Amino acid sequence: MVERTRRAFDRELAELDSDILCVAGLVVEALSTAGEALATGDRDLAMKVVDGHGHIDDETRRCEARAYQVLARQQPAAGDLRLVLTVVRLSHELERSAKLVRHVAAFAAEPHGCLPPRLAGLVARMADEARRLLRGAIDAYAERDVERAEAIDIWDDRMDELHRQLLAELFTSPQSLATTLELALVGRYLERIADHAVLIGDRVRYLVRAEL
Amino acid sequence: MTGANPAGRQHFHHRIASLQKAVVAIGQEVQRSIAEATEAWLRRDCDAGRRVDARTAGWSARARDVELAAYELIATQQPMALDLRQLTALVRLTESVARSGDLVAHVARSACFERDAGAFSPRLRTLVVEMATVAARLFGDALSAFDAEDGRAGREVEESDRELDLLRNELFATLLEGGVDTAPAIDLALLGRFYERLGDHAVEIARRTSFVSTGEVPGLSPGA
Repeated sequence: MVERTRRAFDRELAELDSDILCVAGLVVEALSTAGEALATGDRDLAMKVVDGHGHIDDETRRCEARAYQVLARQQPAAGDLRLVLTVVRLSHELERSAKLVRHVAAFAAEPHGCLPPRLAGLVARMADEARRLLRGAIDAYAERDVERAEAIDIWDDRMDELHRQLLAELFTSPQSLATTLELALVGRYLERIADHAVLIGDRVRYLVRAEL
Repeated sequence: MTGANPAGRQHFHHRIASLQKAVVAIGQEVQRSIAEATEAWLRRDCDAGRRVDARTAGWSARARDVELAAYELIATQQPMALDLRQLTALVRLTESVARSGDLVAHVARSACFERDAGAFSPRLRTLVVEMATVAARLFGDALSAFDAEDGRAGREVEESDRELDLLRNELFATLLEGGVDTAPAIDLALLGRFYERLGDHAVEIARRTSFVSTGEVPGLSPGA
């Protein structure tokens, strides 16, 4: 009986783990699509990301709710408890990241005319870098790889540099002030997504080594 | 287990209450620093900015200590129902408070950036001060609601957050009227974003207050 209960519990933990990875995949995919929309000026593609946000938001909160149910019903201990608490935390990081992706897509869905190539290129590279960092952090979580998670923090330096270049370019590029301000915010959104990737990486260390 | 020993149970509830007080205390320090950081930013007063920034240094670590203490209680006391909701809400609050602290620190540090303090019109300065004031008020109200376990006060915070959205729209509209150079306009647009995010965190704190009594994860769509 105890063995059956233990197996059922292990299955529940595995489902929780799988659920959060599924949600993470949705966020990374949305970011990738938003980046593509930015790079190509495809407003319809951008709108797909905007329209899809509600579903991703619901999924992150469902993951959180399920994790609380596991805490209440199973009262896990040690590594199992750290897994459930990590899923809760990841649900928050992914919820915020998804919102930021939506903001980026909302910008891409609006008509802005032709952006100066260097500016368009910088924003597209930032989106790609953010996607790479988020994917890397999620993979580090999936593989319980602390070293890989810690590398995210180093990769983030490249993001900070791209952001500086973007701001410098915005000061001198000839686009309208409205577009300039919106692009400054898009840069901020993408930089924040990278920050969330770093925070997800921190949680891998907590999960594996119980260190924060 | 929490139910086994009345004295132990009382001690457990005291521990939860003391952790709630601890995270509220950090939040109140964050809230009190919003106006000062804003003033330093508007005056381009790097020394004042650095003083505020120095104050923010311990916030994240203290929030993390509260988080770890809450995890410890979950691990050792195996709480259920209300106790568990209080602890998980508390953990969520440490995230909001720490992140809000980072936002205030960022505003304070930005006071040292090389920009002309005279670049902002009186109207823009007024808008910034208003945004900072509303953000600080929402944050304080949310913390008070959480401290008092007052779900209704929490809901009022959510409604008041729209005030911040309107101010931010007004800030943008004013910037687009012209008369501001690109660099300071970008600064103000990003500054507006900080106050908006502080408001978002206040709303999150308020929602977690409701969560403690209802058990419903905030933002989950009905029927989801």
